[in-house]
Amino acid sequence: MAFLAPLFFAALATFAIPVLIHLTQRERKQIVEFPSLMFLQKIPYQSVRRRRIRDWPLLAMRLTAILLIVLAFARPFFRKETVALASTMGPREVVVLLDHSYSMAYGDRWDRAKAAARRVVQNLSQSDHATLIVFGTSAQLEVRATAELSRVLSAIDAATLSAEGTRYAPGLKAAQRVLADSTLPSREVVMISDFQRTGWVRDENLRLPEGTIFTPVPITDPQPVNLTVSSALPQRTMFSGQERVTVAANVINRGSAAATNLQVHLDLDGRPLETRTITVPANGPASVSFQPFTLARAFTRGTVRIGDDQLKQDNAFHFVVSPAQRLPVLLLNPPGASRESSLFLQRALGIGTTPAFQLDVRSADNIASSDLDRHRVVILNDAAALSSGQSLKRFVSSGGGLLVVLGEHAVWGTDSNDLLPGVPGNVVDRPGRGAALAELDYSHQILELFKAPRSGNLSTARFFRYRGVTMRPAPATAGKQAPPQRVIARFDDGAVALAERTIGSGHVILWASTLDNYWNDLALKPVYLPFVHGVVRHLATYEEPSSWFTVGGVVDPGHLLQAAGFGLQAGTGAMILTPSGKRVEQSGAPTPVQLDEPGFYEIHGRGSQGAVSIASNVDTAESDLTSLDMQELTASLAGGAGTNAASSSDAPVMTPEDQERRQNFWWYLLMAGIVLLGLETAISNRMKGPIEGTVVRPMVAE
Amino acid sequence: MEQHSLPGARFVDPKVLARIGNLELLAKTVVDGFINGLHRSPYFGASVDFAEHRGYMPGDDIRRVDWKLFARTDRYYLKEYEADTNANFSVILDISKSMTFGSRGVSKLEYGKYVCACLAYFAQKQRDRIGCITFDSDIVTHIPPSAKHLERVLHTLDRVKSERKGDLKVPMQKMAEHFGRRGILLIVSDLYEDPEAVVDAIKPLRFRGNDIIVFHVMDPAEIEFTFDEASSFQDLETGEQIPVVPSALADEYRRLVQEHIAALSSRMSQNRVDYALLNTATPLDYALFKYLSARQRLSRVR
Repeated sequence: MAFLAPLFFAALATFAIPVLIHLTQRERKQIVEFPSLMFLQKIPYQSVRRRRIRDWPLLAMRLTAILLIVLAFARPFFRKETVALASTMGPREVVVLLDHSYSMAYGDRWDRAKAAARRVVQNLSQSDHATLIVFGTSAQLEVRATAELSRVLSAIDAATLSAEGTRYAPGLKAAQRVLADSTLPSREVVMISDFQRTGWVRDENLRLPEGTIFTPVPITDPQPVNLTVSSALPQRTMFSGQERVTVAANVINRGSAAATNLQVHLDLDGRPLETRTITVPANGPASVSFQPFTLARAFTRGTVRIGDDQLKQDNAFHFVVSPAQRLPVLLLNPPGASRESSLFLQRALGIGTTPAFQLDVRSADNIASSDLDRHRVVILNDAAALSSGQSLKRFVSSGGGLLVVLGEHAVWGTDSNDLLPGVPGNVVDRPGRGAALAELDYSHQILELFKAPRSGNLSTARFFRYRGVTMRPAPATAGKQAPPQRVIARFDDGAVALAERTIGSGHVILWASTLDNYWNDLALKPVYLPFVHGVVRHLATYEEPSSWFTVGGVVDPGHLLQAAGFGLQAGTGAMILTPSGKRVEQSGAPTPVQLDEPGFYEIHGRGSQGAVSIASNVDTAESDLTSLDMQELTASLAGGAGTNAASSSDAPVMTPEDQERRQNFWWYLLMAGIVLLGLETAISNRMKGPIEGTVVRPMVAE
Repeated sequence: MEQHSLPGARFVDPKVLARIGNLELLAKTVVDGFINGLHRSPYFGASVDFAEHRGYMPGDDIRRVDWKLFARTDRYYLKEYEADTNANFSVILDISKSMTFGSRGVSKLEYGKYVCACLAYFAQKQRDRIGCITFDSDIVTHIPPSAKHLERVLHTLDRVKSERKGDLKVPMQKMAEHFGRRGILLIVSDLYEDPEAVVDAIKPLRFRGNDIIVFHVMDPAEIEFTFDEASSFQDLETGEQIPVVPSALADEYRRLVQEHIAALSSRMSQNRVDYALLNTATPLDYALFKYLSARQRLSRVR
């Protein structure tokens, strides 16, 4: 039953009137005015008669009459909708969504959530079907639409907390699918969660099927308090030729009271290194910096941690830090050329920090294939094709990078067919103002750096001479794959300036002019340095190593091993050791792995000696325990108001006013109330004596 | 009324007196016959009636030193005399709501007004200065003592109305601060307060050297509690109601009232305050006669 004007229930306060009349008036037959009750009050005498209601039936009649009249004014009606039908329309399809994100580990939330889930399942009848979905950032369908409730109960018992954050959408979408497949007449979704605000992103497509009852079961605590190590940032500095790391960490207090004298510890490779004491203000952050330490070895594992609180999962932040890598680059000058002929390149590659380059300048006629394997990138600076052309191709195929700079000495014959993206042609002279780079493919990794406005303009460089390049036709087998060769930049006359060819897992970049100030003035422009660095980084497939990953993220073991310099032999596979000590064996080419625990993962390549360590941390956004407005969630899921998502947008909906008007209960209630009042008046008049209310006044002078 | 009969006194029933609209006429009627001097001046000063000796204090007038006594004792003493001067006489009437009670035709307030009028008239005859104060929880009207104020006093008494509840402490305190010159104060009230509180309220006036007469006015129904029907008793001042079955508590009530009166009488005499209980059923002149007799007796003792 619903009410059109529920505010009229405030009139129920008038219930007090007949009660007061009963308690006061009926017993006061005579009032004697007396100068002072000073002496009378001293005499221990209590009248209980006044406090006793004698005419219960009369009082009951008065109260009932008032109740009926108030009900009539509140305009009651029976809501005819699917909610009401749901409980009466036979078997139900009930989907239980159980949040197992790590915030549910706060206090006893997880136990309460499982108990709530068990209660929901235990209250189902034999004909109902139950589904259990546990969700965090992703959702797992544990038990699907079964009438065997014992299976669902077992699954609830077996459910464990994860280290994931909260996202409601995956769980609700899984529930959508289950309900869509259901043939039962009544459908219901029960979501048991702490309903964190951070987990909710409004999605118009996220609607439960028509007629579904959505029941949120919030598992929350009043004013939760949580301290979180939200980040730890290792910063490198050089001191006396040694690389030192300073760790700066952030601690967030999500409680209403400041955390004083909080001890923050830094552990390195499992050993305590330093402890700092800080005060974190209420609902605010505080940062702490530890003393710098010298990096002794690669993959040094660090952890910043604080003491335990109600939610332990976010009290530690892990990171891995290694000494900065120097990228080996082999710069080959033409035979007989002086070392200064590549002065600009040498200077540019001598400056890099991320990464630093280890430059080896050699003459192109004195190179063995073993020399190539020791480097990640080879630069042929105006040098002719090497005599060992096959070894160069093998180098590129196995992941190496080759930059071919075309000058007047670069003579390429048929070797270019197998290696270069195009065939170098004659020298083109552009007298006068020279040529400029006109057509730039900013989607390419090399030029992406210059994509944003005012981030460097390559068109300012003037090119007075370059080599014409004829691009090779794309092979027919390329299909929808990225073409093995592409033009990255052209001159203003359409000639190829920069082109790339992919061979195996390596790349070849062809630059149609020189990289000094002989044929162009690019080397004198500010964009020269980032351009050269970008080309070399791209060729070396360099990625800055991440200090940490987030739980739920995916890493490629093969890529990590390769980036660390531990090349994989084809088909040898890898072994991953999780923080909990579990071994995950992978044979053949390593496949991506999802991180599902906080801590340190160890990745071993079968064919290599080394191992890579990576740190995994929980999503610190999950530490914010602020609750979501339940009405916002239910309204969004239902596409309208109400706790249940039952109303359909397609079916014609009768408004409450219409329903009330049709039913017209108020009329009958009002009549009943008036009749009852009349009856009560008649009865009370008959019961009342004539002396009631008489006041006796002895004599009062004015 | 017959039990109050005394030879030589004209006893007029207050109910009969109440028919006299004019307070002055009423006072004349009652007071006639009480013309003899009834009070002495509370002042010590230059007069012919020697009162006592007092040690000389620096600043005293050396003309008042008793040189004969000095010759005998070798110490300085001053002679003090009782003053014959006219006194200040103020009637202080309680006009709180509780005073409006009356079970036999005359309320306590009316009775109090008659008493005040009579004594004021009486004092006027002695050429004293007459003043009047009415109070409830605060001072309501105040007429300073003067030889010409009898009519104003009677007029004020005639027009008083009860509107508020009563309290002794605050008005008495204000009066004590106000009276600069000592005099005779007549307090007429039903004294519905703890005896200790009553005496504490009056004490400041007494300490200022005033001669205080307290008339405790009570209705016979208050003293004898003659009610017989179970009723709700409503406090005239606070409006509070309590259910009362008189037969169950009349004895206890009477005992408490007598204890109250006895305590008041005892505490008043300890503080040298003249106290008299006036039952509104008693004729006015009888009450005056009784009081004045006692007063004369007290004067002799002093």
